[in-house]
Amino acid sequence: MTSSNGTRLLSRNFALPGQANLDTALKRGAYEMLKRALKMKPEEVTTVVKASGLRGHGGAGFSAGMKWGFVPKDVFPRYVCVNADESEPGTCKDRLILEYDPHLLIEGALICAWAVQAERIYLYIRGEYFYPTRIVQRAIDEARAKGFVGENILGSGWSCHVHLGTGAGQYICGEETGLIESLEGKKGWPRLKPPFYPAAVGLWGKPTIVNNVETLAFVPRIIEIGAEKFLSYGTPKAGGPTLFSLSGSVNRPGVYELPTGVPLKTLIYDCGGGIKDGRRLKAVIPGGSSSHILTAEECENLKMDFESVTAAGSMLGSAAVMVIDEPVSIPRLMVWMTRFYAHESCGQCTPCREGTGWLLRLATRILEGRGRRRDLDDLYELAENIDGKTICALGQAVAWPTKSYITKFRREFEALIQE
Amino acid sequence: MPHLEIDGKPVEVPAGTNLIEAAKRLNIEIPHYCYHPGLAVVGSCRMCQVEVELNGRKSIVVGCNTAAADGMKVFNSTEAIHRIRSGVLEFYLQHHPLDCPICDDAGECDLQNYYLLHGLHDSRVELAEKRHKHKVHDVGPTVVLDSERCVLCSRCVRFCREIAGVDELGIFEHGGDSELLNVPDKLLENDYAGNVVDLCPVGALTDKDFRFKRRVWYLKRTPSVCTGCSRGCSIYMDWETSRSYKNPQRRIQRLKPRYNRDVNEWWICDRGRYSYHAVDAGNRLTAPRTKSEGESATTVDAVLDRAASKIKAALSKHGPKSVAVIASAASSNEDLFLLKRLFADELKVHSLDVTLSGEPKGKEDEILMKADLTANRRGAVEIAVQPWGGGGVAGDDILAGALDGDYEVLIVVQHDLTRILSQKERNRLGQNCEYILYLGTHENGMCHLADDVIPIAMWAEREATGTNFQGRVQRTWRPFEPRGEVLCEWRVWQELGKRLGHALPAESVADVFDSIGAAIASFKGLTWEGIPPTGIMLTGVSEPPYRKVQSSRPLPAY
Amino acid sequence: MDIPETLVRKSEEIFFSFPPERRESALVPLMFEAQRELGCITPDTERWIAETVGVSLVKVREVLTFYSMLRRERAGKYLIQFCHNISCCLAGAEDLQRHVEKKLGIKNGETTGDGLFTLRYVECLGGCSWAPMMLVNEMQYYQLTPEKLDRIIEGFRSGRPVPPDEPTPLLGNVGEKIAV
Repeated sequence: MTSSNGTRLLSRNFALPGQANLDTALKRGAYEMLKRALKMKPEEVTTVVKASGLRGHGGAGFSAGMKWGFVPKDVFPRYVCVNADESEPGTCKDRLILEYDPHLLIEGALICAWAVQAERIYLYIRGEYFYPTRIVQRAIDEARAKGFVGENILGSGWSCHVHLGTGAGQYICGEETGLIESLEGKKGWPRLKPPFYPAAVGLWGKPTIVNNVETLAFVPRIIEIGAEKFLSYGTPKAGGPTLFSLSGSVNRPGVYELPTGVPLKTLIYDCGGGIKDGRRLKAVIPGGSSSHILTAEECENLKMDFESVTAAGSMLGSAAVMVIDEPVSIPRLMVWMTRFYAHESCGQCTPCREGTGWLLRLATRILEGRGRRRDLDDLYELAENIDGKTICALGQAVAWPTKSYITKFRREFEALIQE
Repeated sequence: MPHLEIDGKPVEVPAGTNLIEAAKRLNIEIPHYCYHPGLAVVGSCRMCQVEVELNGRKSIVVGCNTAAADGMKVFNSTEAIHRIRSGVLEFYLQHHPLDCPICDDAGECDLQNYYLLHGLHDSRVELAEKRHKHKVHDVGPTVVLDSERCVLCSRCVRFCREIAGVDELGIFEHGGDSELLNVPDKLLENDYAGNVVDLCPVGALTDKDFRFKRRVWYLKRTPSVCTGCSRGCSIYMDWETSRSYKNPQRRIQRLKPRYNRDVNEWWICDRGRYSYHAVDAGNRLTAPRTKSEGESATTVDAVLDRAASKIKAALSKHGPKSVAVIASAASSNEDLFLLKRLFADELKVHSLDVTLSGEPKGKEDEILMKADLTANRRGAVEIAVQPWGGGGVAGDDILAGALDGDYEVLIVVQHDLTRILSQKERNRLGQNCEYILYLGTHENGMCHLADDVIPIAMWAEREATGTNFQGRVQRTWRPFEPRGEVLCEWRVWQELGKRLGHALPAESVADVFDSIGAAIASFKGLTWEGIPPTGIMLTGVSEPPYRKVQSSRPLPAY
Repeated sequence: MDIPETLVRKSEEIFFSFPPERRESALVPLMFEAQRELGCITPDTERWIAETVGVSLVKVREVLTFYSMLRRERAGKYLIQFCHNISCCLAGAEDLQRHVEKKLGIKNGETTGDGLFTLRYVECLGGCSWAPMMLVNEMQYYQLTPEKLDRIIEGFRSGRPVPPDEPTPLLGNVGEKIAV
């Protein structure tokens, strides 16, 4: 039932005591892969990571190695930003990496920095993660004291400084350009892409690799076991395992490191112990609240990798699986969801700024029984008017779930509309 | 140069042109709020979304952030685009107050215009759900803010930061609570604050000076040149004289900047913007004044006759060195040319200058404002109405000489000497100078000091050319006639010349300008008809290097 | 204004973490630290931050009003940030909301009369697998039930706080020891 075999790549040391402490971690091989990477040419490291099929685990699923390869040849300095702003509803796996194996993350970020020849790493942690921040700060200080961070790392001649950045309570600072804006001391207003793709023009206008915590934490393992082996723990298009955050109406919620492409049913029933109190599965949100909802039927044969979930009409996103059982009211879920986006909209562009609040108002009206007949169609049409019309992906992040809740569970909404 | 098609119409544009600008060349409007050619691109209003096809790839992009490419097809008028625009407009109108009946912007409001062109949908918002923000907020000494009307295009914020170089406006809060405001301790009070009113596409930022004064559809618009300093920014004068019951005293209602790439781009300073008040100020001179007795002594002809006889007498008794002229660098090229022809060339008067050291100087900065508050000093230099190697007498020396009684006749144009002379000195001047003639626009101390006063026209009410500090010759257009018995200065010299036996033939100001072209080397080849609305450089003077007031980034490729 | 020595030292650390020519980057972390030390950001604090970082008052206020964790008024001694997002609601957070409102006698955004507790409903805190979750000041508490909630509140009231759930419990297969 448990998958405690070789696919526990990233989290293999979580349960061992004191892994956050450098001396303990060193005994278990921390920073050995950094040493190995420093003996490789930077481009070689990128090639290996590309071949490993590592995809971004923050939500967008972009090939990590390909992103590293986008850094323009002659532009310096370069930077690496570790995106620890974990705020996608349902996602709670980066927190564990920060609390239980911060040195793995620091090592992965350093290897990435070596590959793109960055001179600074900023670990941007969301403001609400007070405890993880303390753990990581201590880990960085320890690593610096032992020479893994700072000037002339391990005698390689290459210097890289690692510092913390902090969020202060806005989800949009998890968007890569929103994160960069926040690091530059401004509101987290995302930038236009093109031209502001961070790998080309990022922090302070310089090439910047922004990667999720989990993505970078896999990098030392890739160096350890090699690209081919890593690829085999996933699918041909998405290498390595994935940390699934399982929550909702299951008996055993938690974080599960499983091969990418694992059947959803394995995750919910074998790992998660099935639905609580013997109730029936109604729906699943597979990839964080920004993904389309899937009905129980659609979950039957679903495999949890990027391509399969997209083919099923949703997205793997941050692999935050929220399990919804029969008694849960989808109109109520709609209010919880739209309330989040209405609060988190940064306000820069009109469809999101004006639309998210409007969606919340309509959803609330329907839930409270004050809905009018046209409200449901308005809700759908307004979501369409937001979808794809915004500067950043928050527009589609509210539009996709809204449209899918209405499409797939229309009768529940109609039942609440009196007239 | 990329060739592309917009709605099936072909156009060729320089590389790097965005789609909004490309469409402008075909007279096609792609609606937009946040985009402005003088400011950085933000792409936040989402109004300019168009469909673009290139190399088989079709997608919807924002026109402001997309570079025109060879072979690109742009679709601006499809059903899909119309629906997108209408959807975006509906989001803008969700909380927008129905202020049109009391909003200054009505008639030139982009929300009204775009709604009529691209919206025309019914509202589906409950009135009870409407947001409330600051209304009639005193954001600064010259501007009123209504943040409910604001569409958060951020043009004003970008203007203050990129052009004026100050941080006085910001967009606070997040999401639907976002609001444009100033901080409590700081007002919108930079020298260019009025430009945000021009930039604001709706009535969120309105000009206190214009508030509730006129509906814009009554205004007529005439291009002109600001005379506040030596930059000579291109402006429009918006004026109205059609309704006698609406404050007939004031003709010009407001000034707006006129785009001129090499002089002022899209901007004017506040000092210039509000300078129009002087044109119809209460103390404007509209009739001649005189110290002479007699009913008919104050007609223009009587004054001119008297002046001519005084000059004739001085010349025959003591020669040209007994006549002096302190002219003005605020006069036009035509005024100065005829002045120089008459006094320097014909009458051989050497005491002729435009400069006095006590003249007021203004603020100068690196944006638009110049310290020299006269509009035509360069013109004065070019036309050589200044002491030059050859023994002319400088302005300060003329004044000193006049105090000592060196001159029989002193002619002063525009300078208010009573500002730089003490009471004692004024008395000395009055005693020691036989005849003082003053040409001016407004009542001031000279009206008591001078023996005769002739009222002259301001640039706003006549056709004139001036030469700005760059060496650019610019002309005005005439919206209305001057009031009362106001004359153009060059006509005064022409009439005086007639009476002194020196004809300076010219039917119109165009004739005078063409004569300048024949006589002055740096004006050679310039003709009145040939002056474009944005001016023309003097012959032999090269265009100043193009200095864009802020830097722009190149557009990304599609 | 009087800036505590600890804040001055912290501000120097923050400035040091950025390149010297990028001083503005200190704005967000410095505001965060200032709030920790001083309780909230007053206009005087805004002025001090603007001077220290070298940015305009407008920029400071933009950042202050944008980030929802930054506040302009003091909160109670214990700021309860209670998650009301999807996973927590699926685990019964709405019932717990009613429970805590009744227990403290306040609603969302309010502070108890004795100034001890402020209640705020916030968005996802990243504790979804251990839902329902809340933060009290900087302390994380998971798997809340009415009883656990009562114990925690009583703990703060009595001066013998219930220790926070640090580190986060290892639920899921990531908590299993691997047989080597």
